[in-house]
Amino acid sequence: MDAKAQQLLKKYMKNKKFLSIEPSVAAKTAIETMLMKTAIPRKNIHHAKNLQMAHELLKEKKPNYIITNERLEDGNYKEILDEHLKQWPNRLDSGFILLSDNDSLDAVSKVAQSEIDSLVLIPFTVTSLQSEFLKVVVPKSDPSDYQLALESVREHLRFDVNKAFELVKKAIKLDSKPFEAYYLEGMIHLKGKSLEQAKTAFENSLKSNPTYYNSLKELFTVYMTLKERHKAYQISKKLTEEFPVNPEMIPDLAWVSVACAEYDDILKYHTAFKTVDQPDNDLKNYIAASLTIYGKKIVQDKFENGEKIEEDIINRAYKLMEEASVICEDKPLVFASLINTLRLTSNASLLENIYDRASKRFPNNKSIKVLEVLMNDDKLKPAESLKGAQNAIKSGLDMPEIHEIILRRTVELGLPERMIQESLENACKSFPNLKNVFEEILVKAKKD
Amino acid sequence: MNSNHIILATKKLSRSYFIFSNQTSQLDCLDYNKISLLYVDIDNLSLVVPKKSISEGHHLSLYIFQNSKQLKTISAMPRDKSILKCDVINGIVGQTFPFDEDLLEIQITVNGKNNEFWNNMVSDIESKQEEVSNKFNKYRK
Repeated sequence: MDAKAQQLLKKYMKNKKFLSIEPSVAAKTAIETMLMKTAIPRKNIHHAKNLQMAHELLKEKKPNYIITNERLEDGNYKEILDEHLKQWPNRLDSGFILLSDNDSLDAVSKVAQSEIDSLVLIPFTVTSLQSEFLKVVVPKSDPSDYQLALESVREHLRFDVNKAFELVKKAIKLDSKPFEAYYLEGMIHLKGKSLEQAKTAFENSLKSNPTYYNSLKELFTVYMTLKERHKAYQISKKLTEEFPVNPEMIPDLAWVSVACAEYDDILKYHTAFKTVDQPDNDLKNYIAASLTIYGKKIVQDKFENGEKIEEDIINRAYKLMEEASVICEDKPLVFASLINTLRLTSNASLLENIYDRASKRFPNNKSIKVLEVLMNDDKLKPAESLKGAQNAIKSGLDMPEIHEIILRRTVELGLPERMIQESLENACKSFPNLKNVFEEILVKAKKD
Repeated sequence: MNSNHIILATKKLSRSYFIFSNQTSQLDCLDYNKISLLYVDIDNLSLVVPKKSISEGHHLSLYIFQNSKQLKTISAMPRDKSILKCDVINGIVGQTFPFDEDLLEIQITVNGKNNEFWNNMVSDIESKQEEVSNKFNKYRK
């Protein structure tokens, strides 16, 4: 750091107050040592051992900067972050540094997408702490006109969107590549639900910086909402090439790949998944969901839309659907989707296999129990199916799908109108909001 | 989409694991999930350990593993420590502080260490921080 930068930093730090929230005595001492080495007077440094003390000090001292451990005995640091953001909406005068022992890609990407300025890994040394601290404060000690304008937009975005819009237009003119300003403009339009304008702003942002994560992520969602799937796919390609894929985005990314007939992407997610040592449940569930989306698309194309699908592709879809049922840990809806999809096919053995797996994994889940009744409806004679559905209702499995079977089968068996109407009344009594749906089912059944 | 570029943001941690022998009480602490390193200085370090596993003035040997594979297989400290795939630091417990209901923070003054390992450990901490910082900044720039 040159002499001028040191001077600016000293001036910036002069009246700033600091709060460390740290249960460890050694870490607290190290933070204090680091701050004092950065020319901050002892009187401006405050310490809290837990969240309760931190809340009190936040109110009383209004610290500009907070350095907190992620692991606090009496609650979550996010409460303090929210309070601090309200207290100091302009983040050029303030900052928030998180100490955490979680260095996973998942954690780093989530913290980076929050309002937190820096993530310091535990264990740390005074050097590693100080180097991170300087990365946060030095740019804030000498902001450009563009950075000042951006911060002003961010500040107003929280409570005065019209003013923020006025400011962002000025900010755009202050930099040759104003990708952050365009991103903020996009966020302003999203607040006003103006999707087309938001889209243009995010697209402009990416023209200035094609790999800006925030704009890529928002534009992907906007394209998805506007059903511009090919453009969404192009963004998803960029996202997955430049950044680690967040598991919770996998179902959306998989959907758009399948919608654009880029089936191999799903296999690539699966291949990447197989290399992960001890994957967590969330990851397993999301990969299972992506395989299910893939299988559903192939099966629907062949059996519902009558498209010509080659034998090896349909067999691969079956294989991956089976794999999904093995991977999936705790999402009965994934199983429900697999089973409902396989009901369209003639692959009875796979259907049975997956149903067995589902019923063992979720013995008390209503959605899975309903699937058994639906599967029986596919293969039993009308009278047997009707009896099964009526028994299911008696046993407490009062679900719309079961009433649908009863209505259809009652008509199909030519039972008296009195009984048909009684079935309709029972269905409407349990699900009054679905009265129209049930009536339509009856009309259709009578036509058939 | 190029398969070589797909990296999943998993919850996998890259951390070291610790167990120790309390040379004063002759008791071992193998509960590696409850031992964590907080802070490293020139010749001392701070750890969080299970309560009642050690006290001020006790001497300890700290065994540092780069992963938990071997730790998952041992139920007692082996007599022949050379079979442990780890590095060792010897020290004396200075101050102790309650950390939470179940854990104790201890400050250890190191009196026996492999200097090369120690320097590597410190530079590992600092380079890992740099790596995380770069990943973090990629999302912002």
